[in-house]
Parts: sequence; structure tokens; C-alpha cells
Amino acid sequence: MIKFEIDLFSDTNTNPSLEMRQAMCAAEVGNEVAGEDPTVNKLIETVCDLLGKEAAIFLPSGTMCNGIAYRVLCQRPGDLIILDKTAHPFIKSSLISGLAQAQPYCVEGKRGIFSAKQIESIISAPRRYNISCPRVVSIEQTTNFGGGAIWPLKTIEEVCSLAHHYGVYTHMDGAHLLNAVVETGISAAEYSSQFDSVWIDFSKSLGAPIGTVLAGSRAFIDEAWYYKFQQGGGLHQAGILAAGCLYGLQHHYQRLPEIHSYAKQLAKLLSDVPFLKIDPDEVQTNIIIVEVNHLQLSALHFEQALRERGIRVLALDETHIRMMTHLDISLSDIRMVFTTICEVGEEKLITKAI
Amino acid sequence: MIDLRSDTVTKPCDQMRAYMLQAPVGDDAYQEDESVNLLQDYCKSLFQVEDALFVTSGMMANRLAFMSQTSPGDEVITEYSYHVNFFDSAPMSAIAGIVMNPRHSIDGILRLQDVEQALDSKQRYDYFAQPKLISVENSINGWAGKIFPLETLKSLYNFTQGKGLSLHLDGARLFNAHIATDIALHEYAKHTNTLSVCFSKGLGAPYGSMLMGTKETINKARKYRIWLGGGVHQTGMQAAAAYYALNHNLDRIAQDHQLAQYFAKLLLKIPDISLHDDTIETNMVQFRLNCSIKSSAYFLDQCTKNGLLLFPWVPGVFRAVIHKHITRQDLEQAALIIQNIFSEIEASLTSNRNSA
Repeated sequence: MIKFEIDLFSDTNTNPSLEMRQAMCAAEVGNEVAGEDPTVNKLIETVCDLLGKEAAIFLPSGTMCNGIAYRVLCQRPGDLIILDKTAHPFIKSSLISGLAQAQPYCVEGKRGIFSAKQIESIISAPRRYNISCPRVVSIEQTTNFGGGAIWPLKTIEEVCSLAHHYGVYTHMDGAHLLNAVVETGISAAEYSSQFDSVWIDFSKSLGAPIGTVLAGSRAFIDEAWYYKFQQGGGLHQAGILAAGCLYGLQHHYQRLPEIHSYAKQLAKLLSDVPFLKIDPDEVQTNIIIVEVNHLQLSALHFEQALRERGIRVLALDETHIRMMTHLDISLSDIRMVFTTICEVGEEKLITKAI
Repeated sequence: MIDLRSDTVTKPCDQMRAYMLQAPVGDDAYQEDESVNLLQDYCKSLFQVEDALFVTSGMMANRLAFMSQTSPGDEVITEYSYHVNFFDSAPMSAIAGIVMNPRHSIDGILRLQDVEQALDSKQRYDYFAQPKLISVENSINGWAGKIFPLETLKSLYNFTQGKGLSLHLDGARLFNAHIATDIALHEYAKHTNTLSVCFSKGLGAPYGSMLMGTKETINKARKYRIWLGGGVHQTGMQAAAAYYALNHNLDRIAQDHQLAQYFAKLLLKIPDISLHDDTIETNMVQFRLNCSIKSSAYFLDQCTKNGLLLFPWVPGVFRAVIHKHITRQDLEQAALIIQNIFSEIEASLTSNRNSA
């Protein structure tokens, strides 16, 4: 297995600390599928309080949260799920059609964020037997492939009230919701209040190895249990995992501002590099998407050259690189990444000049 | 509380937890988790299979086995009582889109003749459901942990190959069958196209199952695992627990089997009870109530009040599963609790009769 000295590929790539492991291994456990795991139950209560929701369910992954929420909210095969063209559940898997038997309806948002105006025509279209029915509006807070942008509360309120006015459900993929919370000071409950379903992830910035919690009304969660079984998400002694999640919330949550500051510093440094294009003011959280405008090197070339130097980034396409800061990234790592990117880019330019 | 509901209730021991503590981890969604890779490689050699995939649960393993070997509209032939049908037919149809053709065999064992009957039970025009997969189970949960005979597995395997049919073995409790029969795990695996095993039952790990088969099939399963939401990140600590369990808890399953036989003997002394199947082959006992007891729910409730948990199978039938937390004394106590419930009922019936 390749070990990268600096891994900016994803904030899922964090190694649980010894303290987190100790908390996990000391966890009190029970049979999770029967609702008998005390640590899972504690995590669920904690998340209900945090998100201001009536009920919640523990699941192994964010993709399962999205899949289950869509299946509960959609009523008929062919229903439309409205989301941004960069939304993770649309880009990264075939679950919308393959599993939920729904259709994605993609909106051209700006950095993953769309307005109520943009979805008004599809949402308000007359319901007819020969037209697909819009059933769910799904947003992602923060926008992953939109560069970690934060959905403003006002936009959320406008989108959700429009949706609800027309009887359309609302769902928030909150994989990075807590990143938005620490940045804006708006509580997770405020962000969540307009949504019929919402989930948060503990294996991203909070550094737990596995774990997500999906929340909503009691009736919604009762239905979600049905699909949890169907999708193989019923676990046995899951308290060990839940203990990692609780530890992350208690001990790593306060580190999020620091993680964001590293991303912002890196963005600022990179904004001065002539062959890269990035507006540092757009970096709001821990995700950086930088455009490569190099004469000889594409984003894929950079990915490869950095990989050879022990640094991992993700080339999204020929011209864009994504980098994510997380718990295991230090300020000196940021400087090293900056220096190495400059070296890679300049080396090639010099070689060409000679 | 004596918990005989299932062997999934076992809790990880201190040594297992300590082993988990030091497990190296990586991102399994990108196949970079060292401990997961170690466990998968270990299973590949133990079962002598081409590829292995560590998944969250047995339900997911079976779902992926079906999805990777069928297309929507295809037919799966199985025995009515097997978990994939008895509990799991809704998701199999909702997610894999298959149609079940479940057979009621005489003793829970799906034999070649049952499969042949299933194949001949319908018209098979091209545009009708096409049988693609046979699914069996070992040990058989719905038949009190009965062992699926290797010879039957062989005959099914030989029959299916080359006919466009695959054979899946749900081995949630294959380790129990292996310990009871001394037949090598790879011998079972050799006569299947896919098989799943579970680490969180008799082996006592907290979580996880393994789906095994050819590289081609497992690659498909890997894709469907993402669809279902089974792609997880640092799952190495869970894999380490399973690895520990395989290396430390396998042999002790024999004790569970001895205790199950002992418990069956104790139950047979109670006149109001009959065993669902007289031969106790692994770690389960299933029994039926013969008396005029008010209801299954009442019996279960009385058991719970007296400190005994059982799993209600169908009305009047209960399952008791022996696992690593259960001792001989627990079973004596359990039998006593059951006996006392009947005695009290008997006494109240008598007093009612006398007062009338």
C-alpha cells in the first residue's frame, strides 16, 4: 500500500488517533440492529439534539444515508430528485437510478449552490400523468465538488419553502455541514430546520473511521430502518464505531477552524502562482479547487508529479485539482505542498526554456 | 439475563479489543486499508478463492452475491426457509429485482431433485423469468442449525456449472458446519460460485462479513457495494477483529455445539415442549409449544420477565442459540425458567377448574 507523506486527496483519509482508538475499544456495546447498542443510542440522541430533529439512525456511510433518504422520500419509480450538477450523490454513484429508481434533475448552480428561482419552473410545473414528478430537492452543505462553498441560510430557506409549497421534500447531504457551522456561527439545527431529512458524517473532518447519522421525523426514520436492513446497513456491536464518532465530535470539532485556516492559507499561497488560478476569497472551508493553466502540464500531470514526491491530490479533470485539509495536515505540510507545486510547475517551464 | 436470541449478541472480549486498538488502517473505499487487505488475503487462502470482499453485514454480502450474478427479472431458486427468502425476499426483489422460486423441501435441504422441480415448474420461454442462481445455506438457520451436506452441495454444483446457473452459499454459520463436520472451509468453497461468511456470529467479532468468488464476480459486487452504501473508509479495526476471531475463536465453537445438545436434552424432559428437529448438529435448538398456552407472546413475555431471552420464529416456535457468553449453568437455569412457566400455568388451570 502506498503511504503518502501528505495526503490532501480527501478528508476521509485520516488515521484514528490512539486516544480515539482507546475510546472505541473501551466502548460499551450491544446489538445495534435491535436498537440495543447503548453507545449508538447515545450518538443518535446527541445528533438529534445537534440537528434539532425528532429521530435519527446510525448508518455506515454517507452514500447509504443519501440512498435511504431518497428511497424513503420518493414515492414512485421515475420521480425526480433535483440537485446541483456537482452534487456528490449524482457524480459519485449510480444510486439515484440504480437503487432509488429515481431520476436526477440537474441544476447549473454556482459552485454547487442554486437559487429558488432556478428550480421554480420544474417544481411548479403542473403534475400530469405523463410528466415525471419532482419529489425531492437535495442540497449538499458544504458543496464538495463545488469547492466547499457554504449554502447561505437565506438561499436554503427560499429553496426549501418553494419546495414545500409545491409538496416537494427537502434533503440535505450534510457530509460537511459542521464545517459550515464553525465558519458561519449558524447552528446545525438552524441549517437543518427546513429539511425533511439531513445527515452528518463523522469520518470526514471529525476523523472517525466510519459512521454517519441520518435524521428526520420519527415517521421518516421508521421508514429508514426498513431500508437500512435492505441495504445491508444493519450492524451488530456498532458501539465501537459510534464511540469513535462521539470522540470526534467531542475532541476534533473544535479543530475545524484551524483546518479551514490551513486551506485558506494554501489557497492564498497558490493564488500568486502564475500557472494556477484560484480566488482565495472563495475558499470558505477545508476544500480547495484550483484551476491549472500551465503551458505543458495538465491537472493530471500535476497529480502524478506530486504523487511521485509523496503528496496526493485529486485531479478532477484535465484542468482542476481538488485538495482537502483535515486533522492529519499541519501548517508545515501546507508550506511543503505549496513549495512542491511551484517546483513541479517551474521545473517543467525551465526545461522547456532550455 | 440469559440471552439466547442469537449468536449475533456476542460482545468483543478484551483481547479482541486490544488487537483492534493497534490495527493499521487506510481508506477501504480505495482498497487502501491494510488490515482489510490482510483479512481479505487471509480468507482468499483459507477458502482458496480468487477474490474476497469485506462488507458491513451478511445481508449486504448476500445482496451483492445476488446482484452480481443476476439481472432484474431473473429467477433465483432457493429453499423457503433460507434467510435470503424467509427474511430477505423483499430487498432481494426491491434491490436485485429478482423473482424468487422458493421450494419447500422435506427437511430444509435443497436437493438436486428440488432444483429440477423448480426449473420445470414453469414455462421457460425467453421472455419469461430465467433461472440464473441457486442459493443454499449452511448451517440452516430455519432448521435449527442443520448442516447442509457437502455431497448435496457437490451435486448441485456439478449440475449448475455449464448450464448458465450459478450456485451461492450463504455461509453465515458455515464456521459452525465446518467445526461440526471437520470438512475444510475450502472444500465447501470449491463447490460454489460465491459464498458469504459472517464474523459477528459464533466467532464473536462485532461486525462484518466476507463475500468470496471469482475476480469477475467480486468486481461487480464491489461496484454494487457503493450503490448500497457499503463503501466505507477506515474499516481496518473491524477487519482486525474479524482476523482475531478467525485465529482465536474458531475452535471454541465446538463447546457451543455440545451445550446445544445438552440444552436439547433438558428441554425434552419438559412434557409441553417438542423439538422442531431431534438432531442437534450445531449451536441451535428450536422448540414448539404443545400446550394450551395463551399465546407465543405470553410465553415470551414470561421468559423475559424471568430473565430468559428467546427468539420467536413463527407462532408457537422458538429458537435458542448458544454462543460464547452462554454456560452450562445458564442453560440449566433457562430450562428451569421454562419449566416453571408451564408449572404455573398448569397450577392456575387446575385452580380455575377447582373453583369452577
